[in-house]
Amino acid sequence: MCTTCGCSDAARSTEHAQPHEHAQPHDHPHEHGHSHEHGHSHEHGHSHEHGHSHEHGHSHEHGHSHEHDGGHPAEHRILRWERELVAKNARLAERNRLHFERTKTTVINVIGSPGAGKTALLEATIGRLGAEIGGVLEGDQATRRDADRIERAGARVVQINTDAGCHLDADMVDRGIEELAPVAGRLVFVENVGNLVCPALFDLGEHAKIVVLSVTEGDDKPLKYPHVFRVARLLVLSKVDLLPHVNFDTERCIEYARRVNPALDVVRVSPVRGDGLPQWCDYVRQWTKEARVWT
Amino acid sequence: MHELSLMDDLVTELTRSLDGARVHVVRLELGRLSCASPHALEFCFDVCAKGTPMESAELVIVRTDGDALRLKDIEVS
Repeated sequence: MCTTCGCSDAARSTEHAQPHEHAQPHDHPHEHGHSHEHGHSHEHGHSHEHGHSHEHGHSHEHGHSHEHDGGHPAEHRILRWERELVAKNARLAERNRLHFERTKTTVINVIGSPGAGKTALLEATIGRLGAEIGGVLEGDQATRRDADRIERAGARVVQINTDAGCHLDADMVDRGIEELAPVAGRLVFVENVGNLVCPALFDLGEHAKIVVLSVTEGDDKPLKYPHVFRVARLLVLSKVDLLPHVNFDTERCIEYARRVNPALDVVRVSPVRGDGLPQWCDYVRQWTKEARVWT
Repeated sequence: MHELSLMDDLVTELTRSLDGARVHVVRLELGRLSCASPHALEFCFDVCAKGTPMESAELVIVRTDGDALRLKDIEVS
């Protein structure tokens, strides 16, 4: 395959508007419009990942002209432009991570469907961890209902309303943390917008993502929505007090979850009855310790 | 629809960097394990590209294994 234009790629061939011939054989030397002194060839489709994100993909201009039929000397140039689609968010998440390290703040990103029990879990956690918690960022499309609940439970809170938005991104968290201004060294929970899909993709600079799944949602969700279970460190199975009333096989759910993420830990909780809360708090404290070791 | 914010960032960046050059092809690599849908990316690209140098460009999505979700190259004149 021509790695420059991909024109014989079996997966999906590039469809040029007009037939074209390459002016040069495919192993042509690449003429860069500007000089990048890389000591390697650009034929290998390697990505330039330096551990930080480039917002500006550096473009390697390959002087590779296409001769089109029909007398139109259309000068199509291929610009190599390696760039992660989440580059902008990744750059901001990295900035958040540095800020959290400087302020020794542990940040936990709580993801789950609407009604999974995320807020109830946080209310119960506030009751147990109290002063260890520097505050909560609450993500919802609309209202400050969850912020009010968190405030009543006794923690500082900033409500982020995303309107049409389906997830929190690193920029929203940056602004939210600035407004929350938690005391250095504390724990901050970010309750993401209720959604089992989109939040999985957006790094917020957090120390851990957790997924909350309630037993009323069905035990097959880890297979049906695998991405969030893949990126999470902990599965919190919530509302276990309802198990006698619903058709939910806990062991099967955990087996499904570990099919997509063998390293996933699981804790079973009932915020209303108190089950599993000590174990959940142990996980949270463990992450806080890890965060302090890293910094 | 997280694809919308990805495409909006991409089109904004390319429009700013390309200085009016016309874009014919935008080629993405999309891993089967990435959390984005090719259909939604195409839909959102059309929406975001309206009124930009990418308006009539073709979005080519090359599926790969792994979790890549990245722009590979663009074809301009």
